[in-house]
Amino acid sequence: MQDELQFEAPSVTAAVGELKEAKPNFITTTVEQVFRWARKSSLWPMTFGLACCAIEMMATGASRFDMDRFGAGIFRPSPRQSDLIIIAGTVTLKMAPVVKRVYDQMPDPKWVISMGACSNCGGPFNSYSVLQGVDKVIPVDVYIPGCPPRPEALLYGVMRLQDKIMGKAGKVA
Amino acid sequence: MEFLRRILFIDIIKGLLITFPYMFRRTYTEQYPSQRPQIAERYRGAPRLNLDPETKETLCISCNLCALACPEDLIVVTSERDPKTSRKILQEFTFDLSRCLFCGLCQEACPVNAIELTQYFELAAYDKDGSKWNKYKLEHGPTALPGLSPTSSAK
Repeated sequence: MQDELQFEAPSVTAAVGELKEAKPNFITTTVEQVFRWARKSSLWPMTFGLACCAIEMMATGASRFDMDRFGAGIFRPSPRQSDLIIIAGTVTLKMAPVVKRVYDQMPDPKWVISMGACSNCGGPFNSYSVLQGVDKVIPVDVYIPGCPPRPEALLYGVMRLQDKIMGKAGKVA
Repeated sequence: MEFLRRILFIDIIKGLLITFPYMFRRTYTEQYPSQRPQIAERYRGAPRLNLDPETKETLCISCNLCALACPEDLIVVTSERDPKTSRKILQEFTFDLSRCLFCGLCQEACPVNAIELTQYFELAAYDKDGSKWNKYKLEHGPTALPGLSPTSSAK
């Protein structure tokens, strides 16, 4: 029984996390690279906008900036189908449990982009009703400063996230 | 009549007659990573601490007016007074981009045009500390430090 447990397949997130420490193994690393490539090339974001940054997020998905060029243009209407959640806007204390719940409903592997000053750290709303940074409830992969960021800045953030998925993320920028 | 309309796809053809000409029009999409976007001159992006073009010394006189003007209180200016000339010498200048609204009030408050908001917009960081820019980063640009160089996908 113990041996069987030891040979259970690790979860996907654990596998991704272990990759850096993994010994150089030709077959598994190559397959993992293919997995990573597939994940970064089809990042499906959640349709989830909280405030004015969502307008820029919509613009990024529309024809002029066209997030589809990065394979990330299909905004999924359900968290069960999405890999990426772009926290675009002010996270109020009332909304925070919902954000957390939506994040929990997403299947692994999943990523979070914090877009704009509000979701980075509360932005101008240092008040009783606003969560001071979405990273207090969910783990954030990429922070994009701006109020709101340009659509290109969001695309840049998506590219940084793709680098992170490919394991090319350098030291903290 | 309605039956014929449906059989002959009249409505769909009407719609496609509007759609098809777009194939021959100029492409509207901006090819961002391979092609630099046209940023307006008045766009306010990443901050920069200007250096004297001749002496390469900072223009900042540590007057702290930018920190006072900032609605978010995200600028921290640390200075020491030179005992000989009794002038303030800038030691450290911290700019927390993650909270910045890019309102440009610091730029307006500056009496010597030391701090300036540039058109640089690629500011994403993997960490909150990555958005806290120090004096070196503000003076030499975000790509000056190791770990921030543009990667393959940005080229």
